[in-house]
Amino acid sequence: MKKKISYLWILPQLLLSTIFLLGISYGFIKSFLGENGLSLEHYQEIMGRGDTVPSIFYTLRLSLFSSFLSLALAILFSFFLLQMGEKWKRLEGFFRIAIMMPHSLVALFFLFLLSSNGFLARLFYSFSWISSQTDFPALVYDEKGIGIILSYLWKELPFVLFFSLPLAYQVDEKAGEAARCLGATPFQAFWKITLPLSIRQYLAAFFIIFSFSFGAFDLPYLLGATSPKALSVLSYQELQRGFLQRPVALAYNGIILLFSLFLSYFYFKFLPKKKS
Amino acid sequence: MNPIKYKGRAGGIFYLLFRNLFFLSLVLPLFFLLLFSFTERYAWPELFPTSFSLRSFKSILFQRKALFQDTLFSMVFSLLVSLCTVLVAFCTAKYQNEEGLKGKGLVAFLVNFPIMIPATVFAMGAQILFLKIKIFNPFLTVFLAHVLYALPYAVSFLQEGMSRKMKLYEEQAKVMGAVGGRLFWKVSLPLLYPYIFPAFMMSYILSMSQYILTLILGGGKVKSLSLIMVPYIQSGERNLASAYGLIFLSSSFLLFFLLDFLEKGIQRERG
Repeated sequence: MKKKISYLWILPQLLLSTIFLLGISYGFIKSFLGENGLSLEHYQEIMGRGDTVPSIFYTLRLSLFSSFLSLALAILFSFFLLQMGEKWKRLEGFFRIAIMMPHSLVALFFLFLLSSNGFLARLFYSFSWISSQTDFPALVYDEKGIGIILSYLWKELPFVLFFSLPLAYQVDEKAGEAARCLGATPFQAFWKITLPLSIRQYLAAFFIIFSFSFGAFDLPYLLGATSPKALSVLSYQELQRGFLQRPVALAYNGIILLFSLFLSYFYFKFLPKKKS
Repeated sequence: MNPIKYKGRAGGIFYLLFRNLFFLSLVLPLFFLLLFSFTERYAWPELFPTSFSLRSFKSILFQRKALFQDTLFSMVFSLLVSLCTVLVAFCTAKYQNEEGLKGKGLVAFLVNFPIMIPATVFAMGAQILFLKIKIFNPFLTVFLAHVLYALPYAVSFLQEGMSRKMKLYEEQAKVMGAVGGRLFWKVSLPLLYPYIFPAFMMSYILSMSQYILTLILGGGKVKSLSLIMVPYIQSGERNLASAYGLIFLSSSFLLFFLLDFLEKGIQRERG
């Protein structure tokens, strides 16, 4: 009897999760509904447009670059932070602040910093490295998305550390320490013992940020070039064009969703099971 | 060379290096925000602005009364979202920690799934779903969506809090005769509070910063602080955007201190 009552705890979660699953599947199904039943017409329509394929590659490049850089730097930083022993925990507060900063604010910072009349451009001018505003390389609103990648990096590197370092520290305290006592150099202990034992956590974090940056809207919307645009921005533009364009917007979402599901598979695969 | 000694010495240098690096990378943006929310004019090529004014704050507080109300509303809204998130997360975490229940793997998947699905995709799908099932209240739909996207973090904090140790204390208190509400207020809550705290904070901040979710599901009727701020970033009125950013950050800090104060109260009660 008591056990049966315990099952009630899960009800609110189930209710919300049902809404979530229904929401994404309903949108996905609608993207396949044409005038006469099931069809790929909306997908054909967006693929027929010249800007869709470049947009897919652009979005992929933004998310790949920013996530790989975040992962690589997080692993590098982890090595140094672990050398501090327990002291690294004093720096955890910094990670939290970065994680809690909304993306729109991050965009604002990078506009202050990187735009052609921003702080960096003025600094370069005062050193006479550039002779006018227009000489400053385009780092925001640029086609390569450098500003967006940097902003993601600022936001996601702390997230990977926050997500993975506690586990890496636990491993390092035991297995890493044992290796060092047996004569391994700090780098060997990290590279051969600590990192392989905690890499799943890093990879899980990597897939979170990869999927997030592939579908995120705020930063590409605020810092992106007029062309190419990120998929999420294209999708939102279609939605704004009116009711009839909604299935087209949903088709863009369908592409994002398929890719996110593909990444989720790896995320749930690498996510270490919590001991219960 | 003694490896442990090496760790200590090199660690000190790394610590200083990283502390300063992190400090700079966080303080610089905050400094910009503070500086530019008071900036009147920022003429090229001056490095730092020289003409300051209170114009942006004045215009938020007095000239655009609707904006001030929206800001207050978005704070209250996000507080309610956080409260609901923590309650749901409490139930879910409780389920995950109860022994001998089925489907925990599935529940873990359901809880964490929103992390992997971009908000744009869910927002547009949910928009037509809600139309279909005739839920037209934008406040309700935005509320539910915000809770969904904050839950993974809240559940993970609370689940960590309800570890075996807590169970041990609860059992002990039960043996000593504490039951029901007393058990909850005097034992469970004080033990769990350090985990409720970050769960609540995280939910509040996530709710405040959701942009596209609020925009699409709220149809412009529900304002989160991001929603108010983004148009100013786009139009280049950066001092107003900064002022809103500052309001956002101060409200988060205020909540932080409030929760911290509450924690001290609860701990005293317990002692």
